[in-house]
Amino acid sequence: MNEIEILNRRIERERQARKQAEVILEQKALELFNANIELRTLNEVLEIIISERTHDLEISQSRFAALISNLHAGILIQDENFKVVLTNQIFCDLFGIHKTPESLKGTTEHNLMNQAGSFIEDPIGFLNKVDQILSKRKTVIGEELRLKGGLILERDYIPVIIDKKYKGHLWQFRDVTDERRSREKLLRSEEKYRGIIENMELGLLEVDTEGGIVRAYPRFCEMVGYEEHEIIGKSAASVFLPKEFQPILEQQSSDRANGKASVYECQMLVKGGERIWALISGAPIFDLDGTVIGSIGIHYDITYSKKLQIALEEARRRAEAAQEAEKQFLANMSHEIRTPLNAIIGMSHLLYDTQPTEQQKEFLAILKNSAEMLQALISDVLDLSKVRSGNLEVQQKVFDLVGLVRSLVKSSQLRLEERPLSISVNIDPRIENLIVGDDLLLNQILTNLIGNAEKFTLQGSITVSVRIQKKQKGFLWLEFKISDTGIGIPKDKQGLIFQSFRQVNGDIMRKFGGTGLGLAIVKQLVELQNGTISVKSVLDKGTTFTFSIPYKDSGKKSESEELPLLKKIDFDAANTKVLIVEDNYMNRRYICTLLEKWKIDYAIAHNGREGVEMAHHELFDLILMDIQMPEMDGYEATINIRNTANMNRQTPIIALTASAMLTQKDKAFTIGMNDYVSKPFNPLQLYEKLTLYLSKNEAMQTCNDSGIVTPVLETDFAYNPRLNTEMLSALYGDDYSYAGEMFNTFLKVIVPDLPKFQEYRQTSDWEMLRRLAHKVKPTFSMVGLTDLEALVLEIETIVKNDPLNDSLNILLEQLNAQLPQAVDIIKADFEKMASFLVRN
Amino acid sequence: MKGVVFTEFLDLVEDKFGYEMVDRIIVESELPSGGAYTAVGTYPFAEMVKLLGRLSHNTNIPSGQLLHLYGKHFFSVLLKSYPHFIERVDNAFQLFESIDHYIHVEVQKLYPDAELPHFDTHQLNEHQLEMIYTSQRKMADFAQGLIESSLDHYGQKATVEKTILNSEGTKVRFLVTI
Repeated sequence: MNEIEILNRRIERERQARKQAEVILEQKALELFNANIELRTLNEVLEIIISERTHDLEISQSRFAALISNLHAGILIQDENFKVVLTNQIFCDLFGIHKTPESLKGTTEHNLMNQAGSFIEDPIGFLNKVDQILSKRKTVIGEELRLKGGLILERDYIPVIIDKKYKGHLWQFRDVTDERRSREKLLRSEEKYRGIIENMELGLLEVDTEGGIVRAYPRFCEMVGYEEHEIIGKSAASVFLPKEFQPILEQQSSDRANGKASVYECQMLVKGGERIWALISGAPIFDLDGTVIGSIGIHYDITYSKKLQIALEEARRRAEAAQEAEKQFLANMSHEIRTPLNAIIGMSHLLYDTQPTEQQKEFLAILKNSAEMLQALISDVLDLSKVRSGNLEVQQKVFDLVGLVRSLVKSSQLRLEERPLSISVNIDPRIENLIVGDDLLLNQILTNLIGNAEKFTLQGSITVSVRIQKKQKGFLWLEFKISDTGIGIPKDKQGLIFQSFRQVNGDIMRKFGGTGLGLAIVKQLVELQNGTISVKSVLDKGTTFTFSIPYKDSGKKSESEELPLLKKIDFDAANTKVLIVEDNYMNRRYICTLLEKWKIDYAIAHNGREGVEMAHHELFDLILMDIQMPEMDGYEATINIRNTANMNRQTPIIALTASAMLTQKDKAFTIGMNDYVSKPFNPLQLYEKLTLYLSKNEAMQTCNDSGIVTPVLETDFAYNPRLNTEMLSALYGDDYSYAGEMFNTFLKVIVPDLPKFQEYRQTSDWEMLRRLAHKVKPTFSMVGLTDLEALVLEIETIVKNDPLNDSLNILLEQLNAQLPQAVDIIKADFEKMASFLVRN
Repeated sequence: MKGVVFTEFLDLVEDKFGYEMVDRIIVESELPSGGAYTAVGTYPFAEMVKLLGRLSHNTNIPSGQLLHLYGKHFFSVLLKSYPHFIERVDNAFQLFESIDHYIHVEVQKLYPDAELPHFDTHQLNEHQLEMIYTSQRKMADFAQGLIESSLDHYGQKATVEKTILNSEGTKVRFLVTI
């Protein structure tokens, strides 16, 4: 019973356990089913993700492959077993592999590096290096390879390490041939230019921004005596620069920092402490960003030229001092020579007035001529030196050019009186105005040229003509011609005559005298006034000098065509007192005698100091003041008289200057002198000045008939007796000036027409002949040729009524025969009259 | 506690003392499950404690000795059900070392609700292995039985020295010396 109960309980327990197990199994089956479903879903999602990832990977792989194949470099990627993972066309091309990069993928059949090696210049070295690189498995970048064909490659080796494990490597080969070539080219060209500069003896030095020496080129080292290694890294300034040049370098450094290049001269200390001079051209050096990283200095050793320069400067200084001394000498000489010469000339003039015998007159003439020649010589030498030293200024004064020319011609007429030589003047009537320019220079030029013509023309005529050549930019170009009928100049010598000290030949010098300086001075004076001069000459026929000078037109009309002849200006000589301040006895004597002759009272002072004292005690009408005097010179004396309280502050002072120097004359005017007379002077020149200043003086207005004193040098004038003197006297009386003008007009206007009588007769131009006769007829009587007037009247009547009458020919022949003689008489009388007038 | 521990225990009791003893301790223990166990089920550990207590009482054998015996027996169960755990290693030391890191990891995958003891092993030298047993179940005797059976299985003669490391008996040191 008990056993059955136990069994029942056991069965029950087993059944319960089975049920429990069934429930659990059921639950587990369900769990399993759900887990399966979940797993399947997960699997599907996973598959999608995998396929997406695979796709992405493929894209990125193909991008990578494209990138590799398009790289401008040969690429070879191999895995750890040297299987090709990836390569590109450039790799194949570089090493002559005739396969596509695609077909190489996955292969190991080729030893690609061996293949590559056969293209390399040094294949063994290349392969050794490859082995070495592969065994080390370290990145190698930018190694240079040279191919047999000349290409230059850069090789990179990059090991591929994944999870610290070596998984292969990448080879990259870049063609850098062009890059290298241009870099080499650049280097070569840089070296080339540096070489050129070095060969030009230019020393190059490169410094950094602090002035530290970066590189010194061989030529520079040679210049300064250092080896490059001795100075590298040192401060250029402290090694080479003398202290006093520090500021120059500082200026240069700041220029360089601002990117400016410049050139400067500087002294440099070389090894051993000696100094050299260098011309340094400095320029900044820029890096690729344009920042200044230093500067390069190009040094040129100018020590030798510097020394030369200093020597030259010294030489120039000496030359200038010598020139100054020469000028001083000339000024002194002019005083020392001219003062006694003045006395000689003056005295010889005075001797003429002491009733000398004929023989004495002859000796006097020789004395006078010699002295005048000496004067001319000194004058020429001084003039030339003045022009040469540039001391001669061209004055701009308003002056009467026409008057100047006429007066010069008149002076010449006077000189030529006794010679078979006439001078005439021809002035362009369009020159109506006063001219602005230097009258003194023009006077000198014309005097010289006219003097020349006088000297070299033994007989015949001299013609001076002036005409307006052109008007240009406010300037009036005046052309002057001085023609003569003299000995002429041989063609081959015409080029020489304007040179200093050159005459046509030695004979001329002996025969005609002169310094040979005249034309040289003339040329320089003309050129000084921006003019030109030329000469035309035919041997034994004559010479014409032509020069042109531009003048300004003053715009003012010339008051009188004729320069007033020396007029008889009356002044009361008896009531006039002149103070003579002159240290030289001979000069004093000369002036005193002249004044006595002109009955002018005077007082004498022997030097400047005495002159001033006298000026304080007595009023003078005029003071003649020598310049160079002992004790006190003429300038000082004048300044004193003009600026201190005395009676003579307003008195005209005329300087008696022996100096031809313009500066001294200028000085005379500046300090208050009124005028000057250049020594040596002749009586006429002094007389002119006296009349000029004494007549101006109001005190002189009271005129005394008996006191008229003129330096009359000639007796009264008389017409040629073959002229109708009665008629002439009736026409002109004592006015020889008027008569002279008429004679001159006749000669200039009518005489040239007279040959036409014969021309018209030959061409049977009767009407013209009649008109000519009618026109000239009255002019004959105006010059006293009344006989010819009658003859022409007859001719006129016949031509008018019966030109074919035989008597016309006879009358014309008569006229033809008489005319030359008549014209000669008129000409001679005119010249005589002119001389007479000039002297009076 | 896994049902297999109950079914194997009751099988061993029936084998040694007859089904009458099995029926007796079930009835005496007044178990909530009524003593109906299946190997794939899970049951409260307290039922095992009650069953073991009744058996010890009825047989006059200390429960520790009973557990030791059961442990020795249980190795054969494991060998039959999970031979790959035992066969994959060559000796007992390797097996012991793999309990925590491998075997129990795998067990946990099959039975997520299983409560497993910890075995920290330290090989002190070539011949000695120290194992620290930690479990709230206080079944160190069961473990000792298993250790001894394992050594027998690999034919290794060894001594197992047991040291209780705390008063509750939840932490015990075994020193295995070959």
